Amino acid sequence: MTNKYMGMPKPQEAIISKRIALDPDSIAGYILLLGILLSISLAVIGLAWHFAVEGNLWVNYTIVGVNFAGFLQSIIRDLVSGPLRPELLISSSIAVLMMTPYVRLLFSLFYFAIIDSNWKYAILTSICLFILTYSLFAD
Amino acid sequence: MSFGVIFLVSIVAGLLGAMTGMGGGIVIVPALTFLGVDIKYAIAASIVSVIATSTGSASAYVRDHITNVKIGMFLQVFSMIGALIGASITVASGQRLLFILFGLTLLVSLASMLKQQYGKKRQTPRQDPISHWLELEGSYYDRAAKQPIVYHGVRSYIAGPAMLVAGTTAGLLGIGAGALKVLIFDLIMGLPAKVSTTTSNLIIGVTALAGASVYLAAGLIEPGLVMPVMLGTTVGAFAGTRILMRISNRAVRMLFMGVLLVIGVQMLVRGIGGL
Repeated sequence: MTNKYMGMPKPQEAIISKRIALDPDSIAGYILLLGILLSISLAVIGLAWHFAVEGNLWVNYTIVGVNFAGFLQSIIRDLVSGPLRPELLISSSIAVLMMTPYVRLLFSLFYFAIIDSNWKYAILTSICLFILTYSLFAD
Repeated sequence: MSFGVIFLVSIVAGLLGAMTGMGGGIVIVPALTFLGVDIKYAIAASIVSVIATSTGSASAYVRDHITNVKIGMFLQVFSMIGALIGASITVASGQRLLFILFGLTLLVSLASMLKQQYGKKRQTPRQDPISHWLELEGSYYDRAAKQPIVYHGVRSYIAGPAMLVAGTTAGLLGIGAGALKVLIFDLIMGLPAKVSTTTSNLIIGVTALAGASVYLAAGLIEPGLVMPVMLGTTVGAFAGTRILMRISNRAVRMLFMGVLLVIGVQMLVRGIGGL
């Protein structure tokens, strides 16, 4: 169902795309694609490494109940200080996955506020970001 | 617990979910509980996998220019708040209640699939001032009909609160609640089917993220479980969207409705009977 319509710009978009080389929908799509590919790659590499060391695919560690900010901090701290471990790659995979829709929203805010100058949607996107930022980063 | 078994079950769930448009969560959570996983951990793992499958398909849909990002942005405010509420309820509530709620949701989804099959196409009324002010309209090029389709959304003031309910269900049960969302787009806002499914998919990712943030903070996200579920449903969903074009939609729907009936009743019985 999807592929049939790939690359078919909607009528009004075709005119705009002459001015902007990459339309906002495509950029948002590439952000999502990049995020999911990175997350899955990290997961697969992490699991393969874990398998090579332990001989099984069951990763047995827990993420202590912290909010996303704390989770991200601990990953970055371990990446900087310690050696790379399979568990670290797997945690990074989850973190990248969770960051992906967030980054897409950041891009939407940039687009609505600066390129499109659509204040209604800049505000609406800000509300979305505010709610997510609160749930991910506040205590 | 075995990675292989959970991975395979997740592939099947992702396949069925993608082929019916219901998402994999509605199958994977009951399946995990049958394998002996605590329902709260199953819900948390499922919601992370929902981010993955939604993001994967949204990356293609958005570039197709059928997804309406504005309609999505407006409605996702409501569905995200709902997801935060729903996930908080799950964290605080008992196991039996979750089984009962899940069973009921499965049976309601089944009913909505039955209704959808015999539903007729209706005329979209004139756009109301609120929806007009929110710029809830758009157009896309329909290749099958070989013409641009121009559409507008209506009754956004009802769709918003309805989306709060859909978001709460999603956060509560760790599912995308795509069927419920498509219903809102379709019946309340009067949007074309293609716009409904693709825009609903875009909202599902952000909604699942809001829910996942609550489960992460509650310590319910277990990487050992998340990995096979996330990878399995993603592989399944990827394959499902491709197989979809080749086999009869009716056969898949009948199969899926059968699956929903069996696991819906099972979950209810386990919830009421004290697990």
